[in-house]
Amino acid sequence: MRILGSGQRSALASAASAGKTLFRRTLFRKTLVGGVLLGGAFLATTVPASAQGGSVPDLGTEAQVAEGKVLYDKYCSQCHGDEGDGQGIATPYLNPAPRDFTGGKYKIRSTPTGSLPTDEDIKRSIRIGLPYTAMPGFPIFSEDELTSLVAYLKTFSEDFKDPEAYLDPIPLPDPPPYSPEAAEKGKLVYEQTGCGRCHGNLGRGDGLSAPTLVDDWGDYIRVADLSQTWTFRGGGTRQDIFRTMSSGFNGTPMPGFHGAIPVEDIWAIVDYMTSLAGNVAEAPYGNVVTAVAVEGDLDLAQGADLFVDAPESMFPLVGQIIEPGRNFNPAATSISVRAIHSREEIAFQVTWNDMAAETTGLNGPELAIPLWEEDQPEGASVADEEEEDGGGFWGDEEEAEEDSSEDFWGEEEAADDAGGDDSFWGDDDDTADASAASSTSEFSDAVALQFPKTSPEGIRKPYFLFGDTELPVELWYADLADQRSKLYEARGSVSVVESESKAPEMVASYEEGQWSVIFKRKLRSGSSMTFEEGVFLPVAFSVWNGFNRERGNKRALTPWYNVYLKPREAPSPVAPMVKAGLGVLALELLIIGWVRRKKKSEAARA
Amino acid sequence: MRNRKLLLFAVPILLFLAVAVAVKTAFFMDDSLSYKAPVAISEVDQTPRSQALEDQAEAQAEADRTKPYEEAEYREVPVVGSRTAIWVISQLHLLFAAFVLAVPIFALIIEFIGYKTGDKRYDALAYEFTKLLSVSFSLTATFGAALTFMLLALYPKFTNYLAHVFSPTFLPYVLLFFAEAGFLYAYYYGWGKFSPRVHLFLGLMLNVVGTAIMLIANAWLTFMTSPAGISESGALISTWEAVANYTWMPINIHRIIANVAFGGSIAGAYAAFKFLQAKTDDERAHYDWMGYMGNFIAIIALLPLPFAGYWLASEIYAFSQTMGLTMMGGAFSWLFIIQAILIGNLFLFANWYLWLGMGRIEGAERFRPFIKYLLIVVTLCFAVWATPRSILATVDEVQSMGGSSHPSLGYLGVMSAKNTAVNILILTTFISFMLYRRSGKIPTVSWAKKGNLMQFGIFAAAAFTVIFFGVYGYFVEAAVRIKFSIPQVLSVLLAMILVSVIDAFMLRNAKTTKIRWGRISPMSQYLLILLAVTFTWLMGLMGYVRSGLRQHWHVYGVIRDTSPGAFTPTLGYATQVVSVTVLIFFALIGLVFFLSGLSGKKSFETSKDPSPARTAQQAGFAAASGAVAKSDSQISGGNDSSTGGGMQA
Amino acid sequence: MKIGIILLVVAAMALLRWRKVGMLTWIAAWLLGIFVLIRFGFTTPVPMSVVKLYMGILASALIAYIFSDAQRQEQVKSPLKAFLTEKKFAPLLGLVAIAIPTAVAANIYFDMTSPAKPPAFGRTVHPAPPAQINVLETDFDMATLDNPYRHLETDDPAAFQERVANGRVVYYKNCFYCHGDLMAGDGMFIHGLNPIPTNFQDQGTLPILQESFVFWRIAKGAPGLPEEGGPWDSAMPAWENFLTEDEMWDVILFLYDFTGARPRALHDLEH
Repeated sequence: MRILGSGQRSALASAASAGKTLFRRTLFRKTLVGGVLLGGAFLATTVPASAQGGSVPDLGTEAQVAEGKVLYDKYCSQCHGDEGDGQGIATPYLNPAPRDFTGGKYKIRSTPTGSLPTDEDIKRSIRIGLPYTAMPGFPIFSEDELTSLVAYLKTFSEDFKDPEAYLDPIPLPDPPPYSPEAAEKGKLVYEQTGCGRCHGNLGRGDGLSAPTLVDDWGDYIRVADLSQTWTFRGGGTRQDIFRTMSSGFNGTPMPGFHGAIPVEDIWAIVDYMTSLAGNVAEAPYGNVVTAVAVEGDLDLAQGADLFVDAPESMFPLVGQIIEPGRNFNPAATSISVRAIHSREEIAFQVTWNDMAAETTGLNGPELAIPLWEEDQPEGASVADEEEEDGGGFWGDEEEAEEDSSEDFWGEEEAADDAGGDDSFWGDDDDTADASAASSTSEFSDAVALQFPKTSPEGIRKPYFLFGDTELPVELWYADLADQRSKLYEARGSVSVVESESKAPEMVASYEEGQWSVIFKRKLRSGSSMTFEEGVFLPVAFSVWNGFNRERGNKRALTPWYNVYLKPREAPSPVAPMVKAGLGVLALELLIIGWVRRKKKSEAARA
Repeated sequence: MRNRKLLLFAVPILLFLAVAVAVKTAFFMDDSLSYKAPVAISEVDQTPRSQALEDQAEAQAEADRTKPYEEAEYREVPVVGSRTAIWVISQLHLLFAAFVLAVPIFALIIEFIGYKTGDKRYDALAYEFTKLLSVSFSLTATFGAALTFMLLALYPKFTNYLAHVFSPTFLPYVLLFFAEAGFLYAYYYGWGKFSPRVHLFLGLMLNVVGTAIMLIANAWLTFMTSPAGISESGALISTWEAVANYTWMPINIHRIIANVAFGGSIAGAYAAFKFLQAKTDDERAHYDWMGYMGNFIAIIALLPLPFAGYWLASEIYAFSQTMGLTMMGGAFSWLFIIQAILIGNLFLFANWYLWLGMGRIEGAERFRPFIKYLLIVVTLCFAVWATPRSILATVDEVQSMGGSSHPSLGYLGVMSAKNTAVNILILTTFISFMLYRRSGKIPTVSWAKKGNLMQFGIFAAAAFTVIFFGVYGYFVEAAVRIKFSIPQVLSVLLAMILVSVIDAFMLRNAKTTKIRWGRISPMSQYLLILLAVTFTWLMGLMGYVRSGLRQHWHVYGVIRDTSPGAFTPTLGYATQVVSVTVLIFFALIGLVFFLSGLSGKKSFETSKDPSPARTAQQAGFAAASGAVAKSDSQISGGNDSSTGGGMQA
Repeated sequence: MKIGIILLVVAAMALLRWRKVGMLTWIAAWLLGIFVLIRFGFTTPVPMSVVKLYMGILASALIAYIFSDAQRQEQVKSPLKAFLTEKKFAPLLGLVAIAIPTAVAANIYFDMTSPAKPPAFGRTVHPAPPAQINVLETDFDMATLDNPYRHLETDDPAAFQERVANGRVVYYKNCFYCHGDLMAGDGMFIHGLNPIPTNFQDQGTLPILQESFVFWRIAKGAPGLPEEGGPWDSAMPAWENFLTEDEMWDVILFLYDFTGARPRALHDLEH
């Protein structure tokens, strides 16, 4: 656990880039000028610019362009704009913003950083889309239609006319089988390469520079959470990850590593990410939290150790976009939950990845919120504020621990101080601005568990958004700024009030980009819903990310899922088994006896 | 013998229970769909108990003294509630009424055939059918009276309103009812006593009067669904308009057809019941034939029923989209899947019965191999026909399907597929029937081969047309697709007519083999009973839909139901009520069978002197089994009912 | 469809045919084969309720097959009878007699010990609308309500196209996060929604509905659903809080225009 002051952090961010320059910068293409590359990992590309032999690029026939325009106008222009400038009808509501085609910068390519994509790259993105963004796949297009669309897209950018702008695709080998050894090695390479500066030590997108990153258009850009490979824009298969690692994302701080580190090392990192994601192809989302029974009291001091035997269920989080406070790009994409129950109490552990702990400021489900605010994360706005108390909120012990911590980033700080600035970063305006991310936030992080106020009868549940006037919900709310839990009673998002009943107990911790909050409450408590064994009860979750200025009804949420308290003593199946078995046996004997008797009488008659 | 009797009663009940349980388990519907608000916690009263008791007694006495007279809106039936009580009674009334209305229709037709052809068999059969009438008629009247009293007692305000709108129709109704009784008894007791023409006229009048009664009663109930002829506040403007409301005519047509199908199946069940009880070959032959006729009537009437149903549904849609959606996409949509399963079963049973029937015909063996393929087609069509569009599934299954309809099976759940399936089903049933007919006849005309080929070609062309439009339907928009059902139906109808015509010419002077009536597996008789049960059940369930569509209205949009029973019963509950009703109905119809059998029994005192009815019946048997050679019909059944019958010969 | 499984079942059937097995084996083979086909032959697993339905139909068909012919009946009956009565089968019979109750008991055991499944809710996708709705302080009679701009389609195509274009703007500002760019109910947020949004490309949605129904669903959203629609689960907002009446009608025009569907006609109420 480590908390850094804002000064420290911003210093580190630039230091990280300068201190360990792993890559030699040989060629700086015009498409990259102004590109913000804080990771310090730069592509060493030695491929000749005239890779395609200087031949005239294939821009498609006029007919194809015309057909492409028709398709584009119907299916694409609403987001990417009539002029291909990424300024469509829906653009203001989209984050990540739709691609601006005029710059010729395509994220998902098989070609080296800074170069133009191949036709097949563009088609692939259209065909299957970009996961977890507003760009859907368009399986409806035929190959010819895709070709036409690509031809039309190319007309938006002059770059495509320049034969020099093309580079040969990076060879994309078949993936070697996954091996834990490679993953181990990948972890080392990951650390050496400095991936963690943006992506965090454990890949949770919590690198120090994460809050400061912007893309070529100056928009804040969120670092990929490497432990959730299914959210990867370029696709989550191992080959996809390899391609993204090799080619980088043009227009973003993500560099391509082709030629910079050996192919085996790239595969090793791929395997490392695969292992971080639990080696699953698709998101392992569940729909029920199973609370297992444990003996003895639930001692919150044990923290996560309490839950070792409880199965983990992961639920997708989506933005609240249907009531005021529309949150089109929630920071958290999933929340993982475990639960246990003793004879008297029930405890939930919720964890979610957050690139930085916002532990100052206020938050609460009742905060007022405009219908929709068109704002960026606060990063720069509070850039110059000095943090008053770096890690105070963790309490004295932890502060002490923090002070004495000697770690990787600590050294970096030293290096930064010593080495001064680097001329290469000097010309980058964005850096200074963006690196000033602060942990002094206006809104703190928060999480809430939502239960019906009374046990549901029949199918009827409260409305999943903070209940309704007939059936209220209770929110177990964790205010992570002052480490306090509150109990709210809500009858719809306009009527959220703090309850007078006793709030659940809570402990919270933030480590390596992950919040972990544990709630505990009596199974039966006054006017609240009773947790009964063997019954499915509705539960829903909300996460507020302070950095993303989420508060009140602007939040990430889930619809109703179920929590199931596994009965301590499952009813013994022996008695029903014996009963049914004997019953069937008796029936069989009856039938056999009847058939035999009949046969005997027949034989007697004959 | 004891075994057989036991089976006789146990099997229908078991079969019935099997159907009920199957439907119930297949649709594990949540019984507790209706939402109950949480009970408010009242404040605690601090008065001492003794004081409170005194106060209470005093207040009670005071209340009794000053109690004003109030007109009651509703009264309750204990335990089951008035909603369910009146539901069961009216359903029973309807079932008997349907039977009483249907039987004269085909009794008259059969009598007429007998009169025209001079074949005594038909006359005896018509009489046999009519015999079931008198007791059923009394039961209909009894339940009708019970229904009226219940309406008056339980729903006085609503009944009063109906009287406001429909009082001009009451007197004609009563008079018609009186006439119905007169004609019915004259028709029944006058059998053989009047000249055939007079008797036929009596039968005709019985039908006319009966239908008129139904039309009036239909006006009342259709008015409740789709009121017309009244002002916005419900005041009467025109009784005629109220009668001729939106759904009146569709219901009339639908009911007449359905009544015939239902009546035929009940008569078939009666025959089966008698067949299984029969002691002599003559009796068996007679009742086998009667069962065959009953089933034939039922299936012929069943075929146009879906189209009458479509008309009714579209009129309901036309009257109110809300009601249409409630019916097809809302709370009742699952019922239509059950309906599909039951109708699919009806078709399967009907085919099966025909296949079994081939057993009684000499030379039917050559058609045996076809049965397998017919069965495959029937089964496939049945499966498509019953495929639900939105599927009941667990949370995991819904997630993996990405919705409530399956990506592949979804194609089978839509109108195109279902129309195709049901048309092919009808065609297949018709082919089964043609094969059955053909199995006893060998054409002698020179062009028999060509004729066969032609018939085959017609079937193939019809099937191709149906399937072509079915598949094409997926590629066009809904408005066009709906119209595709017309060529589908027409091609099937045309094929049926053409093939029948060719058959009629081709089988002229055909060599006929013997039909050994009575030589059929007892299984077929259980099938007849099962068919009747299924029909009845189906009627009950569809009645629930038609009535339940009004939801919390007595008269839709005019008189609101504010009684405690104003909820829409859940499917699970409705299934139970309908099942109980069907059980009661079959218990009572068993009584009807028993009572009408009494007249044929030997008299208690003069056992040697057979009653006139008995003689007539015997004449019928003799005629029916005239073709049956004694040696052929040696039935080695003994007390073994399951393997008995002619199949072992 | 999974070709491998289909081939496997067909091959197994062919093998049985070649071996000329008895009627009983055939019945078992059909039941098993069709079960495997339905349950495992599809890429997306078929829900158990439908599997049960199909197996029930198949079972009654098989029974009809056996009992529609005395010979077949005998073929099934006599081996069964022999098995139940003859001495040489006694050990096997004993085994079967024990095996069946054991299987039943095992089934109960697995039923009682397998992890419990959350209760399913048979949600009605298109519940009946109320007779009257009040949107933005105007009363609408659902029986007579129709899209006031639908007539422009024939009367004034230019104005109609303008309305459709406006509907497009409304759609892509508000709806496509859930209902998707292609209106296939596959927007970017659907992985976190239950029930999932309506797929407008599905022939079971727009074409079977009147525009008044769509208007009701848009204006009143989930909170306006009756109980059987599960108003507490659906994430459809009541758009009357965000959009004007015209915008809602426009977006309806756009929905039908984009998907090429025609609304169910409003029936003339006159006789």
